[in-house]
Amino acid sequence: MRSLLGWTVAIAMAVGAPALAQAQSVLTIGVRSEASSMDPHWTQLSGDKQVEQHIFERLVDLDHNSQPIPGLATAWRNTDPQTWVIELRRNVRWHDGEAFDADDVIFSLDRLAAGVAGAPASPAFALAKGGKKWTKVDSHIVRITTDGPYPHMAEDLAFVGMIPEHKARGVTASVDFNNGRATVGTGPYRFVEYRPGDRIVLERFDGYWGTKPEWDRVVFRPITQDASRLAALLNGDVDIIDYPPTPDIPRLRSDRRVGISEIASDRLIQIQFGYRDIEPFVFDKNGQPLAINPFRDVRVRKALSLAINREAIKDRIMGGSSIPTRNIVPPGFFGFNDTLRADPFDADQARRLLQQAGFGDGFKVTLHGPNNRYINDQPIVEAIAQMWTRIGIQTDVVTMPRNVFFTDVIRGDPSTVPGVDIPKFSVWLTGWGTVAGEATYTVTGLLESYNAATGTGNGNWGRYSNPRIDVLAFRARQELDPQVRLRFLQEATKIGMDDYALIPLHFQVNQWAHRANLKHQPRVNERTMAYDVSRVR
Amino acid sequence: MTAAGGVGRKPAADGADRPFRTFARRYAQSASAMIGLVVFVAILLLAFGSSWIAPQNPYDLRQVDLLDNLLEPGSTSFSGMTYWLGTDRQGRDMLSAILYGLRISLIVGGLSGILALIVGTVVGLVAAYVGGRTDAAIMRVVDLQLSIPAILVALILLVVLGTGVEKIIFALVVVQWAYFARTVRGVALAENSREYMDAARVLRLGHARILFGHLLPNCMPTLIVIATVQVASSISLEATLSFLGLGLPPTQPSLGLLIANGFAFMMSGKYWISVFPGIALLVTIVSINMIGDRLRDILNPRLQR
Repeated sequence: MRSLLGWTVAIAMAVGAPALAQAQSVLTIGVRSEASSMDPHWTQLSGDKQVEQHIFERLVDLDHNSQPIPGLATAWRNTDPQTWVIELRRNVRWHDGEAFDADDVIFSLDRLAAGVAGAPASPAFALAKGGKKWTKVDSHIVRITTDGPYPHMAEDLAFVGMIPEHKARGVTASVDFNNGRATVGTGPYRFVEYRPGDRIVLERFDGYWGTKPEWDRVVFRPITQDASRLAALLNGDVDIIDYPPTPDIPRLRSDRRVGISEIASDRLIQIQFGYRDIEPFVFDKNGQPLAINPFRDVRVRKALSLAINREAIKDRIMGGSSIPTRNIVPPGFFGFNDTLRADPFDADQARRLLQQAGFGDGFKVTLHGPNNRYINDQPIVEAIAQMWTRIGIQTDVVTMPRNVFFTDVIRGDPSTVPGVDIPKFSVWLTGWGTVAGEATYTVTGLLESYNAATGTGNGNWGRYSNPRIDVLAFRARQELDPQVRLRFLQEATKIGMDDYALIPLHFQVNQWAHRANLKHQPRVNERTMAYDVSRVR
Repeated sequence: MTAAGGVGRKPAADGADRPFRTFARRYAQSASAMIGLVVFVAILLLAFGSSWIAPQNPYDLRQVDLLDNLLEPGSTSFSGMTYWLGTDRQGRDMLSAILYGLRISLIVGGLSGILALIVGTVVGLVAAYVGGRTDAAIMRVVDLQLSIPAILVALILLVVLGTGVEKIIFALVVVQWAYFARTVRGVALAENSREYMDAARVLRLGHARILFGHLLPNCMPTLIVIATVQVASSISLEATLSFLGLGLPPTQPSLGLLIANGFAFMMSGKYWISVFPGIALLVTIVSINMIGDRLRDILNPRLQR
């Protein structure tokens, strides 16, 4: 017996010791949305960015509150209102050992401007719109000139991943970024493998210029079902998950195996209206199409906002984790307007407003929304249908998976309105993240009139248009004095909110659940980054 | 079962007088089949009487209150109504939601079962009666259809067509007709060579009359058995599709959608949102299958020796 035991111990030590010596630290992240591409110029979807940005870096990085900090550029400054000079970081190497320099920057910006074949248009790639020129001054200085003052250069640069000219020349499609051929960056982690539907594996890059990454390996695993993702955390398959299901949060807070990290999000959940003469999903009580569009009357829009009990949504659906609002950027962001307070729930006033607008008998609408994009999106849509039906606006609900929903909202229905992108829906729930960290991006995206050529109003899918907001937004984009710009943005926001261009509901709260022996510093922009997670020592 | 069937079997002349009575007596010989029948009739009454029985109309959003959401079974609302099976995330009374959901599930399952039966039977009969190349062509289509998993075909159809009651029924018919076609053809081929069919042909009766007046009635016993099984399977297929988010609108939940909604709460101990609709679905399908089993025992000639 004894000798058998001795042998067992000896074998265990022989096998175990080298294994221990080589034990890798692996961080496995369970994410709700799978990355659709590793190409940094493909989209601005959080699910893509949070993986790809481990590999590719930007000239300007964003801190945890989405404020610009030096990335591959160490400094950026105006030499005159239309010229930006950008100094690049020295001694930065690509994962294959080549040096990073100004040629790579020019190449990356050129590729972004040329566009990636088949990529869905992203509002965040403002730099790709015309009127800008970039030139190499020397190996580590780049000059960008614009056709007018361009105060938000730093924020825009934070969207553009830098790719290696020596690897990516000639790569127009995204496939070479997904198979690893061109997936060579300067970031703290290098690409190992991308198995769609299963996992994405990254590995520590030892030649990284910045803080050495904590984990040897990082594995992203898409687990779309909320309950399954939580189960994967609880049974130890993954170390951290995004979007823990809100009904479980109270229980998780008292679970000693689990830690919760949270931060107010920049994502505004809102109701948008269609502003056509006649809307396809607005009917009279008998189900016949209405000859006029009631959403064009501000009293109707206000009534619909007052009918919504935001506190009830917060308590009953969001597990207490939402911030009811009447702003379009969260508190603390440049452009936040402190004078605007979330609309109170007032069904009586809502009914009076409908009466005044001539819709005292109510009407019928179909409220559309995604069912797997935002936190509790479908339950929110259903709850709003309840609340609107109570004030006499009979509301049907249609929800659909995100890809179908956004295609229908953004691309619209070409068969009914040839050549013009107008949503198939009449009123819908959607979200907008102020990824740029300041309100110019959001005033321009949500409130300014739509213009395909200049890219304004790219999130204003219902085609709201208000000349006063257009003027203020234009001036804000040109204004270099931050105090004046702030006034323009706050005023544009107030005009838009007083006019109920859209109905703001709440800002989401980003939450993560992780093993109790880990520490996670959350980000406003929802991204789960391996370098935000560390072991508790 | 075989022995019992043999004992219960009466001389043919006796049964021929009152076929239904004989049938009913033989059906009643199985206690489990009777339980199944009683339960199923009760479910039918509850489901189709739901407008009168249910404490709440869960599809009328004015009667549903978010402030009453996630209440435990037996809780009372402000207005004094008792939620015997609790409420879901939107504040719907689960008991009412289950009754209404049952009705939708039964309508969808029943209608699609009947439509698939009609389509499949006609196709199967024609194939057997005409024979030759037509038969071969039809049966290859049926083989192709049967070789692809039903859920996959239904999912693809719904993604293309969009959601809604009529679309889900269409999708279920598309995936189910082939079962009927294949079985009916098999039975009809055997019947086709019987003397009574020769007699009908010799009398130069019209094709339609031979098909539907002579061939079809003799295939009925088998058809009834598959129909019961297929209704049960279309109810569960509909529940699966709704569970996957491709079924009916969220404000008019069927049983599958109720179960899916409750799934999100399983980890937080709010069992009632998915467990009760799950039990309702289970009981419905089991009762239909119990009836189907007994019908097969009685109607299948091979078990009647």
